[in-house]
Amino acid sequence: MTIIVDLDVMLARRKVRSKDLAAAIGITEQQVSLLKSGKVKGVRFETLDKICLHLDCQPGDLMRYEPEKQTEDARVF
Amino acid sequence: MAQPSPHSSVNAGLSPASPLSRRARWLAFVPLLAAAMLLIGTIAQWVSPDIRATMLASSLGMLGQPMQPEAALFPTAFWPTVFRTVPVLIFAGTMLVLYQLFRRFTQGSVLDARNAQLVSQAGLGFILFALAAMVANTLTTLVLSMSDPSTPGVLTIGFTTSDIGAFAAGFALWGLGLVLGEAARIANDHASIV
Repeated sequence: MTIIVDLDVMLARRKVRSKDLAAAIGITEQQVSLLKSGKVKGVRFETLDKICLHLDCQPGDLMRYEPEKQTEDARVF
Repeated sequence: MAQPSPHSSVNAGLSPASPLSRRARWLAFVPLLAAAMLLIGTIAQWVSPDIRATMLASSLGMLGQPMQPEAALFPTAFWPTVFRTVPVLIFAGTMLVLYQLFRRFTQGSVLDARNAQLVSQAGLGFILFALAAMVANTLTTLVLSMSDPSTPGVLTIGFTTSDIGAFAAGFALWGLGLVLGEAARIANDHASIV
């Protein structure tokens, strides 16, 4: 996965617990946990909007793109 | 208070106490009962020459007409009885598939890929049953006519209303299974979107 979710970093910066965020934006703690670990297929704009509002941040603070590193074999061939 | 996303509940299944689960618990026995009744009928056909004569007459489409008594005796009637047994076994297998499906409903699994696969399998079972019944009737006529010197080797291909019904139900279930499979995949995708 080349999209890295930095929600946990943002939560730590804002000193907000996952449980409180989940309650504030209307999703389950399990969903917050999945989002933090990047194990979701997508995020709704509506959810993103609520997270940004609650944590006072930009979408770019929550996720970033990191190109996949080429393996040694891939470079040779 | 945290509210679960409305989409996450699509694939979450039902609790075993839900109305569907309770109904499915009873409905699961209907296919088993149907399979058991057909199997009992088939066993009776193998054991009793009278019942075999009636079954063979119905296969030939001459129910109520006089039939040579020796036509229903073994060894003449052996292969026709085998031919008539094959569709019953296919039907029993299909009923077991439906039983599995209802058991999964009982356990709370409703919209998932396995259930969709079971619905498709049940559909294919009905299609196979209808085909096997048609072939069985054709072969029964052929074998019985070959044993009768007055009608050597008569080949008649025919189908009954129940065969067409089984075909139609089979195709409908098979198609429904494919649609359910796609629906399960979409539900799964929705559940993974926060």
